[in-house]
Amino acid sequence: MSDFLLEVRDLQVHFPVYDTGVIRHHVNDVKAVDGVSFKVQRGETLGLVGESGCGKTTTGLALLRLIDPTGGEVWFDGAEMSALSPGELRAMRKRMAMIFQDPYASLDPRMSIGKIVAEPLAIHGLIKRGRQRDNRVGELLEMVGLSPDYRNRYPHEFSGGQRQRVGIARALATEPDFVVCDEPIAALDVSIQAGVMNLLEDLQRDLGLTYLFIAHDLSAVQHFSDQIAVMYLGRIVEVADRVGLYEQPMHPYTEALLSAVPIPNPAVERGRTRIILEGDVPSPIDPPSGCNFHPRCPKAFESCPARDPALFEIGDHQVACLLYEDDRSRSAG
Amino acid sequence: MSEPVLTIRDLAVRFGTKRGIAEVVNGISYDLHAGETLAIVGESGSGKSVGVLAIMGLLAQPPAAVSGSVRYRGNELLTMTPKELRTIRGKGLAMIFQDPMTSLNPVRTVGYQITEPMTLHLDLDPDSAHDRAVELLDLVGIPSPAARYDEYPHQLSGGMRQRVMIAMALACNPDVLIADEATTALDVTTQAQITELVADLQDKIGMAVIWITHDLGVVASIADRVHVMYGGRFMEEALVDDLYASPRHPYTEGLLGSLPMPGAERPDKLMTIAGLPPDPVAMPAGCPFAPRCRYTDHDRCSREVPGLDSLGANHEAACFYPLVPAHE
Repeated sequence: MSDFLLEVRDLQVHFPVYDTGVIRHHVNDVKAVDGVSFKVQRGETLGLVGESGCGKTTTGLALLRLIDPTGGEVWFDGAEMSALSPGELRAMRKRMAMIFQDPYASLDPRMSIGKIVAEPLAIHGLIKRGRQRDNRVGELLEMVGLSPDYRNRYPHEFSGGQRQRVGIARALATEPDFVVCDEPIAALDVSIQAGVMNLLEDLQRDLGLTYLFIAHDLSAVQHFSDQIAVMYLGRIVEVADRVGLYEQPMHPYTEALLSAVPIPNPAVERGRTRIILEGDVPSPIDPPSGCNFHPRCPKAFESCPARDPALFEIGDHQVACLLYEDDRSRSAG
Repeated sequence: MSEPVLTIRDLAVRFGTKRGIAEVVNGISYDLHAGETLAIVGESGSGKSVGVLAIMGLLAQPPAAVSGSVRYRGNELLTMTPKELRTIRGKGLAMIFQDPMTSLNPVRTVGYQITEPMTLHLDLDPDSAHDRAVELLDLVGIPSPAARYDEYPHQLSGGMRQRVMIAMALACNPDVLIADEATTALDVTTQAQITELVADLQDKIGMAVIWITHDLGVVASIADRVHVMYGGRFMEEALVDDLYASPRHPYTEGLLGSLPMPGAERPDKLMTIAGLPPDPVAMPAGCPFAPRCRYTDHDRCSREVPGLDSLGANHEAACFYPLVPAHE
């Protein structure tokens, strides 16, 4: 058994763009995910961080085949997902789950909490007997810190934090090995966020879960993850462990992102120098040539618009930046 | 100290709802001085936005009922006619709203929306208003401002739209800028651009800023003074360093403790605050935070509402049993 539960190689998700004429011509693609590779170790958390539109949610959806990747491979526990028959895929999906960002939109308002949590059990035909299924639902609700008596209530009766707990209970119903947490706390109030984070941590420890934790909030990702992958415009620009990324960011985008995160400590804030990035994230339809970060990069040099850096290893980091090419050849030689 | 620009006394806002009277803002008082940045921190439903909408006269009455006093340079705003208020709004007091997607007019050009307050308040002719609008777009960091002048909001990104909102708010050199969750909808790198921009402009123009947010990280980076709001009341008021170094109210302590701190050290557990914020229709009889407070074993907390008490220079907390200062 490999140490890695999930391995993604050169994953691509492109959405076609058509012109507006009578006959639709396929004119271009939105390259939402454009060659992403990473591995997630069993029982660990990989944090995927980046700004809106960088493709992090699309990556999560493509892993579960909730959207079909345009190219690349997703290996889950030794099997390549695209090679699976529909029946095999269904069996595999049982082992993967997703917690969605918006607890208001991701629960069907016309289903009771009990029905919502039991639905995955029904779909996968796991527990057929009514009584046993009820017991399991009660167990799941208790696991996420809700009273089993809530099963007959409806989503509108609950607060955002409680709804997110229902979403977590639903995700855990099939006893998955791997859970994609897509911005699980972004929609919640500050005082509620901590409770959900602690719950996710407890569940990981107790159930041996492997997480992909997707968020734009670097502090939350850093708190939660073992490894962190930083994404920009459909690509991964740096991967490092949580301490390494924080103490020694290598990619200029990681540096800028870290420096932009406000730290809740005024004394620290006053002493900081921010790297302010110029401009906005370019369109993924027509990304810049070479390294796609070069138009905003404070450290760009002549080669950057011309050559596209691949992700390579330097020490404990993986980084996609031409600045470090010399170091790479040295460490390789 | 100089005369405050804005003086607010016992401001209260109630809404009539089907379920009863919602007590959203319950008597808040503060002064705002020229050039300072006051942050009002609170979670959703704490009344922080409604409190400033009341100051701006932007709440429809009814359903809202606003009481208390809001004085801008000595003039009472709450009793002004809409016409009188219009001479102050946009010129003396300006506001940036949370959502740049919905608070710009989609069928007017960016330029039109920035020149509108100038033609109203400054009596500028169209040409000089145009020039000043282009200048403002440049000031807020929009590239090729002259070309952007004729564009519509949908042609701009979220960060750009928020910059346009700031340009609109600054059009008439306001004394007070109210930023209501102005960076919440934006990415962190854009947020950093905007907070930096407002701080720069503040230095240049000398305006006072009320920054409303739930993000304690942003507060630490911009504020001089912080008011922590909960259940429509101020729970704690302090200079920013004192508040973070030594929170005296249990709610503030809980908020700060629940934040994941970026850094190499990983804390065992985040602090959590049990329960939910109070329902404005059924406010607790005593301290609004008492039902969630980890220290509350005192009868008094559930019976009496604590007022703000001074705990030393520029530090006040509304708690009968304030926490011991951290450094002692």
